[in-house]
Parts: sequence; structure tokens; C-alpha cells
Amino acid sequence: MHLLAVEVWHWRGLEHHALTDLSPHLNLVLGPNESGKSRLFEAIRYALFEPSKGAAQNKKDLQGWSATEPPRVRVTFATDAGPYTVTKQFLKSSETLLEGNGETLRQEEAEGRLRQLLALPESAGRSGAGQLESLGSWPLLWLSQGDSRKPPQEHLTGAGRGRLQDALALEVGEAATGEEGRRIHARARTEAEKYWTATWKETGELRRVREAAAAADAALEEARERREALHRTAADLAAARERLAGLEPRLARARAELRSAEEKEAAAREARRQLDLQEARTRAEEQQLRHLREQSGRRGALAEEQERLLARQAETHAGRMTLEGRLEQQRAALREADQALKESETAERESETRLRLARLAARRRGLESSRAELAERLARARTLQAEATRLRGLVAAESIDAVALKGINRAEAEMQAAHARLLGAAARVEVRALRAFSVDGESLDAGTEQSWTLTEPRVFRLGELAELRVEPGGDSLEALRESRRDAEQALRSLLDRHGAESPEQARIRHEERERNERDAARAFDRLGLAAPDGVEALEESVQAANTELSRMEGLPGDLPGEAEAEQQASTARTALETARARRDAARESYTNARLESETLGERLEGLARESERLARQLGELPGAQALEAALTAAEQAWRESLALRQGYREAWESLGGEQVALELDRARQALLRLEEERIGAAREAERLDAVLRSREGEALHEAVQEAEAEAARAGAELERVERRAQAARLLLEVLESALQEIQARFTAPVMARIRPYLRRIFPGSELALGEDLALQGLRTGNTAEPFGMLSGGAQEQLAILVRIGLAELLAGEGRLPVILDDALINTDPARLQAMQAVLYQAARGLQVIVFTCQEADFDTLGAERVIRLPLRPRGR
Amino acid sequence: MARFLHTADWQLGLKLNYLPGEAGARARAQRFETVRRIAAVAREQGVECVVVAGDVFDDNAVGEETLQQARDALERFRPLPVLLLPGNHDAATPDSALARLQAGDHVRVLLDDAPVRIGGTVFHPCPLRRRHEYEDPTLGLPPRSDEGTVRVAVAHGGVLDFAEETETPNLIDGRRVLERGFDYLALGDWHGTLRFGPRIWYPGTPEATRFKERDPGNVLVVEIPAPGAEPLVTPVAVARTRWLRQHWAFHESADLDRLAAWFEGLDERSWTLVELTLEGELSLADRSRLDGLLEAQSGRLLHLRPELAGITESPSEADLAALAAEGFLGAAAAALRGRETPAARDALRLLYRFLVEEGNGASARG
Repeated sequence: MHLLAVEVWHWRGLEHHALTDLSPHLNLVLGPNESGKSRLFEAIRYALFEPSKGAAQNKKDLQGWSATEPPRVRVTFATDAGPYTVTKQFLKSSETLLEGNGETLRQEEAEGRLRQLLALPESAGRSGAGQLESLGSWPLLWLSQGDSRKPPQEHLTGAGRGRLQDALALEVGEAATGEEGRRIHARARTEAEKYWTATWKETGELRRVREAAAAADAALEEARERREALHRTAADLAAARERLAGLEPRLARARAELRSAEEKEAAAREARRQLDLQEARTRAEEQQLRHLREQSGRRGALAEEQERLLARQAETHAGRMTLEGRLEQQRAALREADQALKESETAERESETRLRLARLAARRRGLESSRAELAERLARARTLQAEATRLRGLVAAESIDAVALKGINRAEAEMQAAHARLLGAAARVEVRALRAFSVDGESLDAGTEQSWTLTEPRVFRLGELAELRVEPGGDSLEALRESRRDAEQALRSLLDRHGAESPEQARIRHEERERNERDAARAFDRLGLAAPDGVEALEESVQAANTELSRMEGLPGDLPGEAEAEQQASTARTALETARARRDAARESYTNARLESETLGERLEGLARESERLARQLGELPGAQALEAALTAAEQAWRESLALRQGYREAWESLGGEQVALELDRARQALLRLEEERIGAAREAERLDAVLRSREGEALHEAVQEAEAEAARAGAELERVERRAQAARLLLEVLESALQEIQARFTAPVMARIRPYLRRIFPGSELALGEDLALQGLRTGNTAEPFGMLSGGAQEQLAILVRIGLAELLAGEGRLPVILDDALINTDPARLQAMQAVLYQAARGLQVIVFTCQEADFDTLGAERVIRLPLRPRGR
Repeated sequence: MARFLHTADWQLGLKLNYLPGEAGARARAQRFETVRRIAAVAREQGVECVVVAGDVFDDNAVGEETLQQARDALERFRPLPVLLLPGNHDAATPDSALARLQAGDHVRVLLDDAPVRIGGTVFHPCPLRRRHEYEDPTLGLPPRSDEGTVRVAVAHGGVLDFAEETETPNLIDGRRVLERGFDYLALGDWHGTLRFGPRIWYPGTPEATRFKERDPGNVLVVEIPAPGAEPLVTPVAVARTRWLRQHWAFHESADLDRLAAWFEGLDERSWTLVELTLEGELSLADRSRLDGLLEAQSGRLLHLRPELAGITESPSEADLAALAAEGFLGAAAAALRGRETPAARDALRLLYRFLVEEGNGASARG
């Protein structure tokens, strides 16, 4: 079904408006605000869904204020059976007229047929256009101004949803969830929640019974353990008593064994005592025998030693004789070597003397040369000394030294200062002769000038004319004059003291003195160089050289040169060393031979002493025969003693020997151990008995059975609850899985239809459609954005996309009109462009009618039919 | 002539711990009542004495309350002599419950092998001195030396020939006992009444302790006319509780009705314990009925132990119709049916229950 034309008369102030030649695809109805777009939108709904009968308020509202004619609307629409035109007039002379498919129907008949054509629910018509329930799926398709952001489910009532689901069922081939399914799902959830948390952790009854079962098991374990402990104690006690009873005969046996062992030990001890005595005797015999054997052995050894000694003495004596001959030869060789050494020493001494004399001669020559040089230096030093002494005398004679000159200069400066101060107070008298005259008798030519500086009163006689008295200063001048006089006096006094006539002369004299002093110093410096130790030392050196030279006057004249003498002395020294080495070697050989001879002598003496000692020792020992006889007797006695000892030993061993004491120890130890064991077992039995007595009557068996009962009951309860819980869980899981699967299958056609549009507007996002095709929001990756959280623009865009998808589903093979009345007012320009593309695409299968006041925004819509509404004032 | 009552395995102090609450209390008290009943039987039968061949108590660790109840019950025998032999459960260990019993002077605890003469009969006890004796406890029995007395050996343990049914220790060679000139071997340990030849008997426990016990609940009245004569042994029932093992297979829905009728036909259900092994295929609806039936009967019996592992649920056409309600519910039901696990069967039953209840709810609302 799609709309072909709409026409209204007297409709809420619209006198007459018409939308004609509507395209089955995309239509754009343009008109500024108040041009009647929404009223036309409303008129279509009234024409199709509102019965003409009645005067309810909503119908009265259709009547314009100024209009007298009743409101009237005509809608022409295409159906599978051909075009139909419905005309409805409301309020006055209300009527419904349906024409089409060769028939003309009126009133109720027309309304009924219209409902049929529009596939409206049975109840429609009576409820009216304003009642959502009565409009089936149509409200989903027509979006009025102000409803643009409502999710489609708000316009989806039971009937509408039913139609959608029918359409989906037709497409999917099965039914979705129903009311009963939801109730059972809810019950399954409630049942599961009794036992499980949302993440399938145990909770509630299941957790409680599991904890109770675990507690009961633990209690049972403990009760059993207590009972078993009691049984174990009883078993231990029985074992301890058994052990105790078993110990008695063993103890008796052990005591008897101990007694027997003690008796055996006493007999063996006596035998042992006899044996010990005999052993002592045997040891004494043995000792005597050993002593005699030692003596005999020693005598033999001494005789042997004596023989060896005599042989060595003879051998040593012969060796000494040979050595004496060799000693004599070496003594002669030593004497020769001594003689050669002496000669060499003499030759060496002579060569040394010659060398010394040669060195003296060389030294005399050196001394003579240095004496001449010393004499020259002495003469120069004496001259310098005289000059320096003279200059020192001049300096000493001049009293104007630096200090004195400084005093004179200071006095002169003070005098000049006093004079200058006096001149500063003086009067200057200047005379220019206008004609020739005399001043104080001195003539002045005309035009000449003369001047005076007066520091004291003066009378000038001006020719014959007058006397001019000039009197400068006053008292101060007088003081200055006085001061200058004092300064002059002081200078004069100083000059006089030094015999100077003027400071100038004093200075000249001082300079003279300075020069003399410098010259004297220079003379002394040169003297220091010529005679560093003084003239006297120089004189002494000259004297010493003279003395030494005089000592050398006796030196022979044929002395060799120093180098030659050195050579001769060196040769003589070498010869001496050689002779000395030979002499030392001869002496050493001789000394060694002598020492060897002495050693042999000593050895001979030692051998003689040893021989004497051996003879003495042999003398001390008994004679060989007596010794032999004593030895034989002692051996006999010892053998007899051994036989006796063997007899005693056999007697002792036959009584058990060493073993007897061990046996006794063992028997004692065994008895002790058994007694300890008995005491231990008795104590253990006592202890266990006490434990047992203390626990008897605790009804541990009943406790175990009670615990068993409780554990069994809790276990059974757990099993029962666990089974229920597992069933509840499984049921819920299976139900939800089935639900999800069927919802996914069910919503798949819707999703498939919407997906191409969604991709344009919300690329990368997936629609979240819930139960009953409710739009829940958008899902991007793992993030879900609920519808309510989306922006206003996104909400209205998404709502339109879903409506288009659902409309396509509802239309099936046919066509349905989707009407949008200013439904994109929140959309930004970029999205608006994309939405226009969506509408264009959707219009291939649907009739899309867009009402808008934003003409410029929809230039790019690409509508097949554009209708521009004229602006007409609203009148009521 | 000797005439005595032979009993054993009283297992006093046994709690039957799978019986909760009141039923458990009654069953426990009943064991002492049964001892009183044995005393009454002994009087009725005019026996000279009563021989208890071991396991008077269930454990040596029983408490004073159990001992006192035993003393009280044993008082009912006075003046009849009662001989109590330590068995494997109450062996003559230092913590022996029998040693602590201190019952009246007509009661004699046979802690050692000293023979006891009562009238013309000499009883030779073979007490167990520990829970598990690996030697035949009758090994020390003396051969006959006196031709004029009836000789009875009293022992506790398995007889060699059926040892596979009992604990391996405490094995007794019965034939050798008889070869030593004993007229009768009074045994304990086996909980069902059992004749092992004319002179060797187990009386069994007077009150059963487990379902698997065969023919429990009796005492034996033994009469030996003369030394060497064959004993005349008469079992006398004394038990109050009935222990039934029932196997039930379902083939059709009516089997469920038959099971209900079987329950209804039971005598003295308050003293009856039933171990019910069920098998077969049930529709979900029948399974719900079965659950209801078992729940109702478990309250009426002293104890009901149903074994349901052999039951499988196979949804009927009607069940399937209920389960095929709507798309995803149908899918879930199909998924659960496809799984052969107990949890899946339980889950399917739960779903079925919800569907039935919600269906009812919906029709009630409609």
C-alpha cells in the first residue's frame, strides 16, 4: 500500500490543501512553519484510522475558528487490489466514503473495508486515531514532529508487535517468545537464584546446606576420631598388660641366670688370682734370664769392639807416618814462597818510593808556578789596599755626610719657606720715570721703570723732590721677618759647623765625599778578589810556598816522569800480589797438612783411650765361663715357671676365663633392662587405665552415630539441594541459550535490513535489539551504548533506521508509506546528508514522504516528487 | 535335659542413624523393648537360662544412658540367669562396655573362658578379647572329660564355611568344637537366623539393623535332652520392626497404581521399613505422581528408602504437547531431552512443572 494523493478542506484552518501525484518512492513536502505540514500529516491519519462518526473533543478540534464548513479529508492510496479513495467528513454531516476496485462503500461498511485494507486490529475504529492500541503497526511507520527521538518500541503495541512477529515468523519460520515463555523464563530465573549468584557462585540454600554438610562431616570425623582414640587407648592398655604379664617369667629367668653367672664368676676369679701370682713369678724368672743374656751378649760385643779398635789404631798410625813426609815437603815450599814474597815486597816498596819522588818533583813545579802567581797577586793587593785606605781617609775627613746634607737641605728649605712667607707679606714698589730723575740716588731715565719688593719699611728718596716712605706689613711682617732670621741663623749655624760657606758648597762637598766612598768600596772589592782571605793570608801563602819549596830543594834530579813511575809501581804491585797469593796457597797447604797430621794424632789418642775403656769394661764383666753356667741354670728355671703358668691358665679358662665377667655383666644388664621394661609397662598401663577411666561413659559411640546421622542427613540434603540447584541452573542456562538463539534468529531479518543503513550512519556499530524487537541501543565492539545514553541526533537517526527496517519487514513483497514530519531536527548537516542517502535507498522498497521546513537542507534528497506548500495563515 | 534360650547381636546403642526424628527415637527405644520381649519369651518357654552370644552392645564406647537402659531391660530376666559374651563389637578390652555394665547378680559377663555351670549344663565361653582375633577363639576349648553333663560352647564370629559373608577375623572351626565333645555351639555375629548343622546355630539379631539381613528378628529356644543327644532348636520371632526390600518395575501407568495399592496393603506401616528399588520408564506426569506417592508414603512408614536410579523419564505425547509450548521453550525442552544426564532429566521435570503450573495459571486467569 502506498499513498497517491491527499486533499483537505477546512482542516484546522487550512482552507484547502492537496498533495497530489505522490510518488511511490521518495516525496519531499516543503513548507515553512505554519504552512500546514503537520495538519496534513494528521489529516492522513484521520482519513485512514479515525471513524468519521462522533463529536469527541479531538474531532471538534479539527474545526477551524472561522470555518463554517465541516473538516473533510480525502486520501487516495494504492493497494494490491488497485487504487482506493477514502473521503471522510467529520462533525457536521459526518460521512465515510470508500471508492475503489469498482465498488463504492459508505459509512460503517466503508470503515470496515478500510480497516481490512489497512490490516488494522478488529477493535480499531472504535478507539480512534489517537489510540495507539488500535493502530496496529502504523504508528511505527509514521513519525510526527516531536516524536523523532522516541525508540520504535514506544509506538509498537501488542497488535503492532504481533504483526511484526507474524511477519518475522513468516520469514524465519517459527514463533518468538510469548507471554508464557517470559513467565517461565522468569520462574526459571527465580528458581536458579535460590541457589546461585549471577556468576554461578553457590549461594542461598545450596551454600547453606553445603556448609552444613561440611560441618557435619567434620563433626563426624572428630567424633569417630574420639571414639577411635578410646579404642586405641583400650587396645594399648591391653597390649601393655599383656606385655607386663609376659615380662614376669622372663624376669624370673633373668634372675636365675644372674645368680648362676655370679657363682661362675667367683670361681673364675680365684683361678685368675692363682694365675696372676704364677705370672708374676714367671715374669721374675724371665727378667733374670734376660739380664744374663744381656751380659753375655755385651761381653761378646765388647770383645768384638776391642778387636776392631786395634785394627783401626794400626791403620791410623800408618796414615800418620805418610802424612808427616808430606808435611815436611810443604813446609819447604812455604819457606820458598815466603822468600819470594819478601823480594816482591822490597821491589814494590822501591817502586812506590820512586813514584812518590816523581810526584814530589811534579808538585815542586806546581808550587813554583803558584808562588809566582801569589807574589803578583800580593803586590796588586797591596796597591789596592793603599788606595782604598787613602780614599777612606778622605771620606772620614769630610763631615758632610748624607745626614748632615739632609739637615742643611732641610734648614735651607725652611729658610726659603720663611723667606717666601715674608715675601708674600711684602709690598711691591714700582716706579716709572716720566722724566729723568733719581731714586735713592740712582737715576732713572724717562720712560724707564724700576721696582722693589719691600719686606720692611723703607724710605725712598725721589730725587730732590721728596722722600717716600713705604712701610709694608705690620706686626705679622715682623714675626715673619723674625722667623726668616731664625731660619737663616739655623742654616748659617749648620754651614758653619761643617765649614761650608753655602748650601751649594755643602752639596758639592757631599757629592765629593760620596764619590770617594764609592771609589774606596770599589778598591776594597778588588782587594777582596785579589786576596779573599786578606793580604796577610796572601802573604802567609807566599811564605808557605817558599817554605815548601825550600824543603824540596834536596830532591834528586834523575827522577822519572810521574806516569812512568806509576807504571813501574803498578807492575811491582802486581808482582807482589802474585807472590803473596803463592805464599798464601803454600801456607794453606802446609796448614791443612799440619791439621790433618794433628787430627790423626788426636784420633790415635782417642783410639788408645777407647782401647783402655774397653779393657776396663771387659774387666768389670764376669768371666765367660761363669756367665755361660748361670745362663743355663736360669733358662731351666724359666721353662719350669712357664709350664706352671700354663696349668693355672688352663684352669682359669676352663672356668670361663674373661667371658665369665662379661656373662655376669650381660645377665645383670638383661635383668636391669627387663625390670626397667616392667616398670615402664606398668606405668604405661597405669596411665592408659587412668585415661580410659576418665573417658568411659562419654557415650562416644552414640556421639558417633548421632554425627553419622547428621552427616548422612546433611549429605542427603546437600545431594537433594545440589540436584535441584543443578537442575535449576541447567534449565535457566538452556532456556537462556534457546532464547538468545531464537532472538538472534528472530531479529536477524530486522538486523539484516537495518544493517546497510546503519553502516552508513554508524559505521562499525551493531544494533542491539532486545526482546520484542525493542531497540536497546548500539553495540560497538565490546561496548554497548544504551539508547537513552545516545545523543539526541543519534537517537532520532537510529529510531528512523529501525523504523525503516521494520517497515521493510512489514511491507514484505508490497510497499508501505513511511512518513517523517520534521523528524530530523536534531541531526547535524553531515549526518543529514547521510540520512538523505538512507531515505533515498529505503525509497526503493518503501514510499517515503518527508515533511520539512528546511528546504535548503534537503536539496540533495533526490526526491522524485517535491511539493511546496504555500504559507497560509492559521485560522481557527 | 538342658533347655536354654540362645540369642545374640542385640547391638544395644545402635542408633539406626538414617531414621530422623521421632521414627529414629522409636526404633532406638525398641531395641531395649525387644530385650524385654526376649525376657518374656524366656519365661514363656521355661528355659533355665539365657545365653547372649556376643555383641550385646554395638560398641564399647557406649555411654552411661545406654548401659542403664540395658541394666533396666536385663532386670526383666531376673531370676533367670543371663550369660553375656563379649563379641567383636563389645570385646573384652580394657574399655569393655560389658565390664562396665554392672547389671544385677543374675547377669554374668563372660569376660574370661571360665566354664559356667547352670543346672546340668556347662557353658564354655570363648570371649573375644579384642575386636579382631586372628586365632580361632574356640581353640582353647577343652575336650570332654565328663560324660554326664551337657556341654555348650558359646562363641562369636564367622564359621569358616561362610566366612565370605562376614568379617574375616574371629573365624571359628565349628566341626572341631563338636569333635571336642560339645553338644551345641551357640554362636553370634551373623544377623540372620542360620542353622549350620543340627548343633551349630546363629539366632540372628532380634531386631534387624540393615535391609540386607536375611531372616532376622528371632531367638532360639534350645533343648538338649541328654549329653550327646541332638539338640531341638526352635526359632521364636521377637522383632517389632519389619524390614522389607521391594523391587518394582514400571511398564505402564497402571503399575503406579499397583505400587500405591501395595503400600496400602502393608501391615503396621509405622513399624515397617521399606527399601524400594524402582526401575522403568515413566512419563513426566507419572514421574510427578510417583514423587507425590513416595512423599506421602515416606511419612506413613517407619522408613522409606526409594532407589530411583533405575527410573528414566520419557515424555509422553501429552508431556511433549505441554513442552512444545512456544519457540524457545520448545527448543530448551528439546535440548534437555537430548542430554542423557540426571541433571538434564531434573531440569526437564522442572520445566515441565513450570509449564503445567503456568498453563494452569493461564487457564485459571483465562
